[in-house]
Amino acid sequence: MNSQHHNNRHPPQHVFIPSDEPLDHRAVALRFSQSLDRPTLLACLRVSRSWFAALEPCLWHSFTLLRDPPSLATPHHLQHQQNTAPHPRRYPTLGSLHRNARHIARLRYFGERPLLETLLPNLNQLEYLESTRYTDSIKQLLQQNTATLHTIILKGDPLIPGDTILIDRLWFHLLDFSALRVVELNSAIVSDYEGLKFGLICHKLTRLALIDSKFIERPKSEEGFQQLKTLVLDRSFLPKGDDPPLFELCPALEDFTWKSRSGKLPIFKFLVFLNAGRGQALSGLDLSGSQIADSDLASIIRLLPGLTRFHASNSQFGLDATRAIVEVRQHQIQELVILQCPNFGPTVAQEILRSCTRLRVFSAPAVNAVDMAQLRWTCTGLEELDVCIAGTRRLPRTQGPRHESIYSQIAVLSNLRVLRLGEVTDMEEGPFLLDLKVHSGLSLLSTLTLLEIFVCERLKPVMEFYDLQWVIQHWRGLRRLVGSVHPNVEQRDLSNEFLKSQLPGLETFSTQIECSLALAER
Amino acid sequence: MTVILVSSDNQDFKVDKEVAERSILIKNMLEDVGESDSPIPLPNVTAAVLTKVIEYCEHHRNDPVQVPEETDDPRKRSNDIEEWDMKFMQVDQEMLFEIILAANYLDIKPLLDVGCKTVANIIKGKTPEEIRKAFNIVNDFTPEEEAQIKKENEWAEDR
Repeated sequence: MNSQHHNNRHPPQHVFIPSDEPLDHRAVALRFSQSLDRPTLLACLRVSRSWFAALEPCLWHSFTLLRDPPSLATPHHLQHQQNTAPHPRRYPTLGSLHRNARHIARLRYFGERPLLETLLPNLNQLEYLESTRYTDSIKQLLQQNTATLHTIILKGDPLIPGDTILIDRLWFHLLDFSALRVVELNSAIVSDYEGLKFGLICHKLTRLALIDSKFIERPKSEEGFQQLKTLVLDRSFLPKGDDPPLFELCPALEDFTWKSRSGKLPIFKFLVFLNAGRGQALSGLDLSGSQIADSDLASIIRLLPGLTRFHASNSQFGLDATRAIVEVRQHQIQELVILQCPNFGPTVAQEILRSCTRLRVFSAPAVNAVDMAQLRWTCTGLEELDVCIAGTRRLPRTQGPRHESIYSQIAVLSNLRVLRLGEVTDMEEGPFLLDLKVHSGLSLLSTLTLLEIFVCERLKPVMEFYDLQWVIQHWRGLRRLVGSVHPNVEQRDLSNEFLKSQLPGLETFSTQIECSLALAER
Repeated sequence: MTVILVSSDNQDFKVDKEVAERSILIKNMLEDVGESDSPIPLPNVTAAVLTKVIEYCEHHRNDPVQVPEETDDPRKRSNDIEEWDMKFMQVDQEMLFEIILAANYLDIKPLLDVGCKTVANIIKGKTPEEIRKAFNIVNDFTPEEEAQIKKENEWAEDR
């Protein structure tokens, strides 16, 4: 009856009906599809023919060509393993791949060579390519997409420890790429002597990331790289020479990463560079592992008027740098990650949390439980918090739940999406105390309605059925749990199954490493 | 400074330049013509829709200009909508889709985002039949065709 009534009226013209301006509506259909989760997008394909025509290309817009799909020649005992493996991966049919390859704009390729070769003629609209191989097929793929490719990522396979990607004559091949703006090389050995061509490529880039890679030539340029806004030098080897440090060639830098094994950061030259006002646009800085002195870190912080994101894990970050942040950057710093900094004690962490009103991300070794009990954190907009709590035993006894003060302080962070909580204890203090139980004060965290990721690997919770029920009721958006909710393995597994049955989309991992491997595989 | 926008049904709208330039299309047009009082025709946008678009741009006139991330992974986008935007989008379906189309034509990415997220939130978790009911859409698939589409795209559930 509804459809009869519908046919008697002028039907609503809505975006998914192909029109005279297919490009216009294609862009809208794509943006719409990117707002949908996967099950809903797949349901949309079955709504009607026009919805299918508009949205099927969107399904293929971003595609990962995976390693080793199941083969008919697989021996029987391995087939059994594949059949009983958790979440056996399904693959599109060859016909579907051939029909839809032309829609693929973002391709992640993990080494399935024969399949790539058959699809090559149809892969002509690539904007993004991520590959773990630099074979002739990949070179041909690059040549076919010189006008459209915006981002190229060449990297070793993250699931094979120590894997590297060997690249020769890269810069010559990339010279004609008119749309290229982002290059990332990860675990790469680049045997290309063409420093000038490397420099010519860098002239058009807005982002260059060299991660755990080796080069035999640096990018060379007289004029510098005026467009480069993001430069990542993470454990990569660039040969030394008379050329200035790379950052001196990038006057428009907004984000700079210099991590250990990239050679010692020429700190004096960096400070001179900043002092000359060249760091005006720099808002993000990652100097993790660089072993820069605390006083130099403080000078850097004071010389960067636009600093909002600062990572300095595994460094000498301490009192001087903290003072610099609290005195001049307290109302602008949004992201501060300072893990494994021996000079950054819990008392110093409290200074940051009390002063920095706009913090969204904070990772630090520890905060004192007694300081937390004062409830003086001003960073109520925190979205990601990663800390250990020290000195739980020194909390004064109260009438209420045992850890009420700790949970009360965390409870004000109602925007939290990611919470990584740990406890620092030593032989003198005794065993872990934070047990994540409702009667200990966990119920105070009902304010964390946006929580998506909870990591309790560095805690020893003893969550019983009632506590799990509380989690299910109050943390409805939880989609990742890392750590054990109970010391008994069997109880832990049962608890995880119970949580997953009640919270759709929840994944559980015992350790962060297990989680990272699973994410790398996707 | 003000500019005059003309809708497809020939209604004039006098708007502050700063507000009008929330539309990248209009911003580029103004840069091309330089200092000029000529009205800007918008043949693809009716007066009713243009009224809503201007209302949105007025409210968001001081928002920072969004620059898309160079390596923007669409999978990382959130579907949260601000309270004002949520109330703004409480319109009938026809107007909702017209706003989306207008936002795309005028190149106002935040408004396009909000529109798409609004529709996405309406249909999230729904079956095909429930989506059809929500938008009054006739099912022109046979059961066999629908089953084939489901089977052919099962692989995508894992991604």
